[in-house]
Amino acid sequence: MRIVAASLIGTIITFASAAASAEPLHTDHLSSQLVSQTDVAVPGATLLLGLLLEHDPGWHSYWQNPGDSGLPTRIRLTINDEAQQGEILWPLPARFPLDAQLVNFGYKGRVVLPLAVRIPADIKAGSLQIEARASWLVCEDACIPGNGEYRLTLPLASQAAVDSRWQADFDKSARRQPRQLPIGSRFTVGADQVTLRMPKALFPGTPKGWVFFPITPEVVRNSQEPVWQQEGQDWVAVLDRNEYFTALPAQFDWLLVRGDSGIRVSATADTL
Amino acid sequence: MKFLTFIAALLIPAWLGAATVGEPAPAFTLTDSHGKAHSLSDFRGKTVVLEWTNAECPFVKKHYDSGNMQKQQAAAVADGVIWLTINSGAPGKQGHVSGEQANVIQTNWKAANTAYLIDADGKVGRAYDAKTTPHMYVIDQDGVLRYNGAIDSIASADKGDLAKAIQYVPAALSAVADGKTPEPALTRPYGCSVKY
Repeated sequence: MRIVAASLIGTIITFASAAASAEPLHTDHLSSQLVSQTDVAVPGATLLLGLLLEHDPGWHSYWQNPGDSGLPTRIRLTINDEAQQGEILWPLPARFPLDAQLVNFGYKGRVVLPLAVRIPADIKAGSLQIEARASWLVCEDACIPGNGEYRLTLPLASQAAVDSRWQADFDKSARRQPRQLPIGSRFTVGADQVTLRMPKALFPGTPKGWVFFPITPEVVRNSQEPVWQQEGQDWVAVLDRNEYFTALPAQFDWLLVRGDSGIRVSATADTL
Repeated sequence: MKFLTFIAALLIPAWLGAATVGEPAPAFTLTDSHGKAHSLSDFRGKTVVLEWTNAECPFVKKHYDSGNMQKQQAAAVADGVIWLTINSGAPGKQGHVSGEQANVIQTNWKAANTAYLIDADGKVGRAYDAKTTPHMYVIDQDGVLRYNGAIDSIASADKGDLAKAIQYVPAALSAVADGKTPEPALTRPYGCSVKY
C-alpha cells in the first residue's frame, strides 16, 4: 500500500512540475535549473534567463577564468529552434586557494548565472520554447564534470511581471555585476613581471583591500595578489607574469572586488 | 619606483620559471611503482615525456578511458622516447597511490609508458610547477625543456572532444625529432589540480 501511495504522489509531482516547467536537475553535488526573471517574455525587450546553481556545501563551480585548474561553466541556448548568443553575465566570483601557489575562481552555495537575450519585436510565435544545454565542473577536493538539458516555455505578452521565485537570486546577481572603470588604465609586460597602472583620478578611493581576479587569462600569475602603490597620478602594482604567457594581448582585463562591489578594469598595453 | 621594481625582481620566488621552455629541465630522482629509482640524467641522449597523473581525476580518465593516452605512450616508446608518468598526490589526498596500487592502475589502463613514478612529497611537481592532471612536458635529448602545457587543444572532460582536438605531445615529439621548436611550446594545462 505504501508503494502505491508513493507512486501516486510521484505521478502528481510529475504533472505539477510539467505545468510549472521548472524542476531542478540533481546531479553530483549540484542542483541546476533554467529560470526566467519574468513570468512572460516581451517582444522587443531583453529577456533575462538564468542557470540557477545550488552547490552542495564545500563544493564549487567555476567563473569565466577558472584559475589554475577547473573549467568555466558553459551554457548554450536555443529559442524556438534557433541558436542564441547566450553570453553569461558573470556575477562577482570568489577566490578558492588550493595552497599558496594554486588558486581557482568560482562560485559556491546558491547563485544564478544570468543570460540576456534580445527578443525580436516582430516575433511571430505565440510563445518561446527555450532549450538550454549546460556543462560544468563541480569540485571539492575531487572534481566531477556534469551537464544538463533544460526546457522552459514562456508566453509572449506586452507586459512582464517579475517571477518572485527567483527574484532574490536575480537581484543578488544584478547587485554583483561589475561596473566598468573608465578607460585610461595601462599594463606593461616585462620578461618576468607585469606592471598594472590605474589612474588615481578614476578609482574610487584606494584599491588596497580589493580582491584581484584576472579576467584575461595567461597574463599574470593567478595566485598572486597585487600590492598597490601610489606612483605619480597612478595606482601601480607589479605582478609575476603568468607561466603560460606567450603573446602580448592588446587589452588586459581584471576585476577588483570588495563585498558586493566589483570594478572591471580594461587596460591597454604599453610597450616597454 | 624603479628601485621598488628592482627589489621586487630580486624577490621572484624560486618556483617561478623553474621549468622554462628552452632551458634545462629540473633534475630529479624518483622511485617507480616497482621500487626502482630513475633519474632524469639517466635518460640523457633520449627524449623524455613527463605526464602528471591522478587516476581518479575525470580529465585523466578522459584520456585513458578513450585510449588516447596509451596510444600516444605506445607510439612515443616505439620511437625510443622515455615516457614517465608522475603522481604528485600527497598521502591522504585523492589519487595518491602506493607502488602496488599504481601497478594495478597501470594494468587496468594497459599503460604503455616507460615507468610510473611516485612523488608523494610533491617536490618534483613543484620543481616543474605542475598544476593539473594531466600536465605534459617534453624534454629533448640534451635535457632541455621543449614543451610545457596541456595534453591537447580542447579543455574539457568530454571524450567527444578528442576527435576535434590537436594533440600537443605527438606534435612536440615530432618537432623535437626534427630538431625544430614545437609549435606551440607553451600552453595553459587543463584538468584537476595536482593534489599536493
